[in-house]
Amino acid sequence: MTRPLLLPELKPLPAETLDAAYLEELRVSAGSECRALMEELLAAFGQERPAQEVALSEACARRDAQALATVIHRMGGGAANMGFLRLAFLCREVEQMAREGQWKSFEALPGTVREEMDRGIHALTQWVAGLG
Amino acid sequence: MSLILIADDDPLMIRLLEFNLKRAGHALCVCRDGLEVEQTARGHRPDLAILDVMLPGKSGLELIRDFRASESFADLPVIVVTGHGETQVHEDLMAAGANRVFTKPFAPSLLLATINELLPDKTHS
Repeated sequence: MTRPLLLPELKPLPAETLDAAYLEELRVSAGSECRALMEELLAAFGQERPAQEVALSEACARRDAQALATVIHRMGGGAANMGFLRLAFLCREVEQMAREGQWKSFEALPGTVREEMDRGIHALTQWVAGLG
Repeated sequence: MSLILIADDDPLMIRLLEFNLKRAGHALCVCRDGLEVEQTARGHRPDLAILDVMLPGKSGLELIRDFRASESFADLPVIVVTGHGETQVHEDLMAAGANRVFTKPFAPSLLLATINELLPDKTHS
Protein backbone atom coordinates (compact mmCIF):
# COMPACT_ATOMS: atom_id res chain seq x y z
CA MET A 1 0.00 0.00 0.00
CA THR A 2 1.28 3.41 -0.94
CA ARG A 3 1.97 5.82 1.90
CA PRO A 4 0.09 9.11 1.47
CA LEU A 5 2.21 12.00 0.26
CA LEU A 6 2.88 14.84 2.65
CA LEU A 7 2.41 17.44 -0.04
CA PRO A 8 -1.05 18.92 0.44
CA GLU A 9 -0.89 21.13 -2.66
CA LEU A 10 -0.67 18.18 -5.00
CA LYS A 11 -3.36 16.33 -6.86
CA PRO A 12 -3.20 12.57 -6.18
CA LEU A 13 -0.40 10.92 -8.11
CA PRO A 14 -1.21 8.23 -10.67
CA ALA A 15 -1.43 4.75 -9.17
CA GLU A 16 0.88 3.31 -11.81
CA THR A 17 4.59 3.80 -11.26
CA LEU A 18 5.52 3.23 -14.90
CA ASP A 19 4.14 4.50 -18.18
CA ALA A 20 3.31 1.12 -19.65
CA ALA A 21 2.21 2.42 -23.05
CA TYR A 22 5.39 4.43 -23.56
CA LEU A 23 7.63 1.56 -22.45
CA GLU A 24 5.83 -0.76 -24.83
CA GLU A 25 6.58 1.72 -27.64
CA LEU A 26 10.25 1.66 -26.64
CA ARG A 27 10.24 -2.13 -26.48
CA VAL A 28 8.77 -2.46 -29.94
CA SER A 29 11.00 0.17 -31.54
CA ALA A 30 14.23 -1.04 -29.93
CA GLY A 31 13.51 -4.74 -30.47
CA SER A 32 16.30 -7.03 -29.34
CA GLU A 33 18.38 -4.02 -28.25
CA CYS A 34 15.79 -2.82 -25.76
CA ARG A 35 17.33 -4.45 -22.70
CA ALA A 36 20.77 -2.97 -23.39
CA LEU A 37 19.26 0.44 -24.11
CA MET A 38 17.22 0.49 -20.91
CA GLU A 39 20.15 -0.70 -18.81
CA GLU A 40 22.20 2.11 -20.31
CA LEU A 41 19.46 4.64 -19.55
CA LEU A 42 19.14 3.39 -15.97
CA ALA A 43 22.88 3.81 -15.51
CA ALA A 44 22.78 7.31 -17.01
CA PHE A 45 19.85 8.23 -14.77
CA GLY A 46 21.84 7.00 -11.77
CA GLN A 47 24.77 9.19 -12.76
CA GLU A 48 22.58 12.28 -13.15
CA ARG A 49 20.61 11.70 -9.97
CA PRO A 50 23.02 12.86 -7.23
CA ALA A 51 23.61 16.30 -8.75
CA GLN A 52 19.89 16.76 -9.36
CA GLU A 53 19.04 15.79 -5.80
CA VAL A 54 21.60 18.27 -4.47
CA ALA A 55 20.19 21.03 -6.69
CA LEU A 56 16.67 20.19 -5.55
CA SER A 57 17.63 20.18 -1.87
CA GLU A 58 19.44 23.49 -2.22
CA ALA A 59 16.52 25.15 -4.00
CA CYS A 60 14.13 23.87 -1.34
CA ALA A 61 16.41 24.92 1.53
CA ARG A 62 16.41 28.46 0.11
CA ARG A 63 12.67 28.25 -0.62
CA ASP A 64 13.63 29.49 -4.07
CA ALA A 65 10.61 28.79 -6.26
CA GLN A 66 12.33 29.81 -9.51
CA ALA A 67 15.31 27.54 -8.89
CA LEU A 68 12.92 24.78 -7.85
CA ALA A 69 10.97 25.16 -11.11
CA THR A 70 14.18 24.88 -13.13
CA VAL A 71 15.53 21.79 -11.40
CA ILE A 72 12.20 20.02 -11.17
CA HIS A 73 11.59 20.70 -14.87
CA ARG A 74 14.81 18.89 -15.74
CA MET A 75 13.96 16.03 -13.39
CA GLY A 76 10.53 15.74 -14.94
CA GLY A 77 11.90 15.51 -18.46
CA GLY A 78 14.29 12.76 -17.42
CA ALA A 79 11.53 10.94 -15.55
CA ALA A 80 9.24 11.09 -18.57
CA ASN A 81 11.96 9.70 -20.82
CA MET A 82 12.54 6.84 -18.37
CA GLY A 83 8.84 6.01 -18.26
CA PHE A 84 8.51 7.05 -14.61
CA LEU A 85 4.86 8.06 -14.78
CA ARG A 86 4.33 9.06 -11.14
CA LEU A 87 7.58 10.96 -10.84
CA ALA A 88 7.02 12.81 -14.12
CA PHE A 89 3.51 13.77 -12.96
CA LEU A 90 4.84 14.94 -9.59
CA CYS A 91 7.53 17.04 -11.27
CA ARG A 92 5.09 18.65 -13.70
CA GLU A 93 2.70 19.58 -10.93
CA VAL A 94 5.42 21.00 -8.69
CA GLU A 95 6.97 22.95 -11.57
CA GLN A 96 3.65 24.51 -12.49
CA MET A 97 2.92 25.51 -8.91
CA ALA A 98 6.44 26.80 -8.34
CA ARG A 99 6.20 29.00 -11.44
CA GLU A 100 2.92 30.38 -10.17
CA GLY A 101 4.36 31.00 -6.71
CA GLN A 102 1.94 28.52 -5.20
CA TRP A 103 4.40 25.89 -3.94
CA LYS A 104 4.78 25.78 -0.15
CA SER A 105 5.93 22.28 0.87
CA PHE A 106 9.63 22.89 0.32
CA GLU A 107 10.76 20.81 3.31
CA ALA A 108 8.91 17.64 2.33
CA LEU A 109 9.64 17.71 -1.40
CA PRO A 110 13.21 16.31 -1.60
CA GLY A 111 12.24 13.22 0.40
CA THR A 112 9.15 12.63 -1.69
CA VAL A 113 11.08 12.97 -4.94
CA ARG A 114 13.73 10.56 -3.61
CA GLU A 115 11.03 8.00 -2.78
CA GLU A 116 9.49 8.33 -6.22
CA MET A 117 12.88 7.97 -7.91
CA ASP A 118 13.56 4.80 -5.91
CA ARG A 119 10.11 3.49 -6.77
CA GLY A 120 10.60 4.19 -10.47
CA ILE A 121 14.06 2.64 -10.62
CA HIS A 122 12.87 -0.47 -8.83
CA ALA A 123 9.86 -0.90 -11.11
CA LEU A 124 11.83 -0.24 -14.27
CA THR A 125 14.58 -2.64 -13.23
CA GLN A 126 11.95 -5.31 -12.82
CA TRP A 127 10.43 -4.41 -16.18
CA VAL A 128 13.83 -4.70 -17.86
CA ALA A 129 14.46 -8.05 -16.15
CA GLY A 130 11.26 -9.31 -17.72
CA LEU A 131 12.39 -8.52 -21.25
CA GLY A 132 13.24 -11.50 -23.38
CA MET B 1 21.42 9.86 -45.32
CA SER B 2 20.09 12.96 -43.58
CA LEU B 3 21.97 15.03 -41.06
CA ILE B 4 19.97 15.96 -37.98
CA LEU B 5 21.05 18.59 -35.47
CA ILE B 6 20.05 17.81 -31.89
CA ALA B 7 20.12 20.61 -29.31
CA ASP B 8 19.49 19.20 -25.83
CA ASP B 9 21.35 19.17 -22.52
CA ASP B 10 19.66 16.06 -21.12
CA PRO B 11 21.91 13.01 -21.58
CA LEU B 12 18.92 10.65 -21.42
CA MET B 13 17.12 12.48 -24.21
CA ILE B 14 20.29 12.66 -26.30
CA ARG B 15 20.88 8.91 -25.89
CA LEU B 16 17.30 8.06 -26.81
CA LEU B 17 17.45 10.27 -29.88
CA GLU B 18 20.86 8.92 -30.90
CA PHE B 19 19.65 5.35 -30.55
CA ASN B 20 16.53 5.81 -32.62
CA LEU B 21 17.86 8.19 -35.27
CA LYS B 22 21.06 6.28 -35.98
CA ARG B 23 19.11 3.04 -36.33
CA ALA B 24 16.93 4.82 -38.86
CA GLY B 25 20.03 5.72 -40.85
CA HIS B 26 20.43 9.38 -39.92
CA ALA B 27 23.68 11.11 -39.03
CA LEU B 28 23.71 13.46 -36.05
CA CYS B 29 25.43 16.50 -34.67
CA VAL B 30 24.71 17.32 -31.03
CA CYS B 31 24.77 20.65 -29.18
CA ARG B 32 24.37 20.73 -25.41
CA ASP B 33 24.17 24.52 -25.20
CA GLY B 34 21.89 26.84 -27.15
CA LEU B 35 24.79 29.17 -27.86
CA GLU B 36 26.53 26.43 -29.86
CA VAL B 37 23.64 25.87 -32.23
CA GLU B 38 24.10 28.63 -34.78
CA GLN B 39 27.77 27.90 -35.33
CA THR B 40 27.13 24.16 -35.53
CA ALA B 41 24.32 24.68 -38.01
CA ARG B 42 26.50 26.90 -40.20
CA GLY B 43 29.33 24.39 -40.06
CA HIS B 44 27.29 21.25 -40.72
CA ARG B 45 24.25 22.43 -42.71
CA PRO B 46 21.75 19.99 -41.15
CA ASP B 47 18.65 18.81 -42.98
CA LEU B 48 16.50 19.03 -39.84
CA ALA B 49 16.84 20.21 -36.24
CA ILE B 50 15.41 18.76 -33.02
CA LEU B 51 15.46 21.35 -30.25
CA ASP B 52 14.73 21.20 -26.55
CA VAL B 53 12.94 24.27 -25.20
CA MET B 54 14.85 24.81 -21.97
CA LEU B 55 18.44 24.88 -23.14
CA PRO B 56 21.29 26.63 -21.36
CA GLY B 57 22.53 29.70 -23.15
CA LYS B 58 19.65 30.19 -25.56
CA SER B 59 16.17 28.68 -25.45
CA GLY B 60 14.58 26.59 -28.13
CA LEU B 61 12.08 29.37 -28.73
CA GLU B 62 14.89 31.87 -29.35
CA LEU B 63 16.65 29.43 -31.65
CA ILE B 64 13.55 28.94 -33.78
CA ARG B 65 13.21 32.71 -34.13
CA ASP B 66 16.89 32.94 -35.11
CA PHE B 67 16.45 30.22 -37.73
CA ARG B 68 13.36 31.80 -39.22
CA ALA B 69 15.04 35.21 -39.39
CA SER B 70 18.07 33.73 -41.11
CA GLU B 71 18.33 33.45 -44.86
CA SER B 72 20.23 30.17 -44.55
CA PHE B 73 17.85 28.39 -42.19
CA ALA B 74 14.48 30.02 -42.76
CA ASP B 75 13.14 26.78 -44.23
CA LEU B 76 14.97 24.32 -41.98
CA PRO B 77 12.47 21.79 -40.60
CA VAL B 78 12.42 22.13 -36.80
CA ILE B 79 10.93 19.71 -34.30
CA VAL B 80 10.73 20.89 -30.71
CA VAL B 81 10.64 18.55 -27.72
CA THR B 82 9.36 19.92 -24.46
CA GLY B 83 8.33 18.81 -21.03
CA HIS B 84 5.53 21.35 -21.14
CA GLY B 85 2.18 19.97 -22.21
CA GLU B 86 0.39 23.30 -22.00
CA THR B 87 -1.43 24.41 -25.12
CA GLN B 88 -0.08 27.95 -24.86
CA VAL B 89 3.54 26.76 -24.89
CA HIS B 90 2.87 24.67 -28.00
CA GLU B 91 1.08 27.56 -29.69
CA ASP B 92 3.96 29.92 -28.95
CA LEU B 93 6.46 27.46 -30.42
CA MET B 94 4.38 26.90 -33.55
CA ALA B 95 3.81 30.62 -33.95
CA ALA B 96 7.57 31.16 -33.78
CA GLY B 97 8.03 28.72 -36.65
CA ALA B 98 8.36 25.20 -35.24
CA ASN B 99 7.12 22.55 -37.65
CA ARG B 100 6.09 20.13 -34.90
CA VAL B 101 6.09 20.10 -31.11
CA PHE B 102 6.35 16.90 -29.07
CA THR B 103 5.72 16.61 -25.36
CA LYS B 104 7.96 14.18 -23.45
CA PRO B 105 7.65 11.27 -23.48
CA PHE B 106 6.87 10.52 -27.10
CA ALA B 107 6.90 7.34 -29.15
CA PRO B 108 10.05 6.88 -31.24
CA SER B 109 7.90 5.67 -34.14
CA LEU B 110 5.97 8.94 -34.13
CA LEU B 111 9.16 10.99 -34.16
CA LEU B 112 10.63 8.97 -37.04
CA ALA B 113 7.42 9.25 -39.06
CA THR B 114 7.41 13.00 -38.53
CA ILE B 115 11.05 13.31 -39.56
CA ASN B 116 10.34 11.38 -42.75
CA GLU B 117 7.40 13.66 -43.42
CA LEU B 118 9.39 16.85 -42.88
CA LEU B 119 12.66 15.93 -44.56
CA PRO B 120 13.09 17.08 -48.09
CA ASP B 121 13.82 14.30 -50.57
CA LYS B 122 17.55 14.66 -50.50
CA THR B 123 20.62 13.09 -49.02
CA HIS B 124 23.27 14.92 -47.11
CA SER B 125 26.67 14.99 -48.72
